[in-house]
Amino acid sequence: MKTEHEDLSPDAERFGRIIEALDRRPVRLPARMRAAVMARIRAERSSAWVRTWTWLAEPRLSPLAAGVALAAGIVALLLFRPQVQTGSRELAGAGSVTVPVRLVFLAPQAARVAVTGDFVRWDPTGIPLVGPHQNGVWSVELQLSPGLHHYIFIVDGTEWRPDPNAASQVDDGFGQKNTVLLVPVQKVS
Amino acid sequence: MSDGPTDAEIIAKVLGGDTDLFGVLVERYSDEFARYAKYMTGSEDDAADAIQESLVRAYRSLRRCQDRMNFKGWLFRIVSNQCKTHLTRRRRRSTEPLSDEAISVPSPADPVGDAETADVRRKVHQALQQLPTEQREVLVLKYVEGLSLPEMAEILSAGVSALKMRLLRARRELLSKLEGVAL
Repeated sequence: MKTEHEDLSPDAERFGRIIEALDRRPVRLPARMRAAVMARIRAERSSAWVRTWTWLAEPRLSPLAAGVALAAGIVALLLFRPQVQTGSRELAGAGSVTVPVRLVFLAPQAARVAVTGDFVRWDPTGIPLVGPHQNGVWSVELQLSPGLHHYIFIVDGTEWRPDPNAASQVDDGFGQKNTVLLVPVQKVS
Repeated sequence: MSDGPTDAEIIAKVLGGDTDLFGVLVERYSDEFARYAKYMTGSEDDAADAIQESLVRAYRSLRRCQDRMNFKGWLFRIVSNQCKTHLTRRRRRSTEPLSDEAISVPSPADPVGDAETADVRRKVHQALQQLPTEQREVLVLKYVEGLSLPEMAEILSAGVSALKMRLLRARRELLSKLEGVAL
């Protein structure tokens, strides 16, 4: 490296002082970033199964066509290997339709509460909840695509907490839980 | 490489269906590239975003990692591209130059530096952020991450001679940006 400085002479000494001023301290990213990566990966993996199941279960075909589709589905399942999955988290056929979902969270002591999840790409800022209401409850209404979603509440910007009211939670791989929410396809009357 | 399964062993198991094992790679490399990403994007928050997106993209493309023994180098290229994408998007959103707050500067509580040193560091970092991305990248890899030219050539897919020239131009440009600044 020293020989490379020689061609900059007489600026070599000055450049050396510049280099000394660079900050080389390690940067430790917040654990929630790593948790967010795993949550996104698990959500994609889970949604692949949900899409497959929904496609098979959706009663949109004639009996004959359904039989053919079921056979094709069985073949697809036999060929399917649980490897790296890609694609949308939305259910097949859902298109751009969204479903209103109301989330509530009890935190009377909190100054602010937000929710983050796969639907905002695990943005650490999240979507703010409104509150607290008189009973200490915070709430927000989201428009979510049908399918499987993972989310978590952020209390006062730092504390990540799963939804205690949710029916299902999954390990985020870093000692915490993410909440799992299955948004059904809304029936059109 | 630390104790435990190698990257190649983990990749084979992840591709075999044990998705959760990807968490080992996430844990192993998140911070490894964080300092580089922070220098490239200008802030720790942006670095975290870039690293997060890179790791998810790496997972999605894991089958395409041909040299599994060099997962680190493959992942670095994704991180490098993601940082550049991040910068491009930010430039599209705003033509404003980076504010002082967005520029990575050492903490004022730095025990080894006094106010004067902190001021010099701030100016050096500001000048670094004003360099073209490719010039900033070679300076960071060489003088912050401590990589050799052959190592840089491998991960940047560039020739050593071309990198020497890029490094030389980057150094001159940095010196020019800091002309008149007492160091």
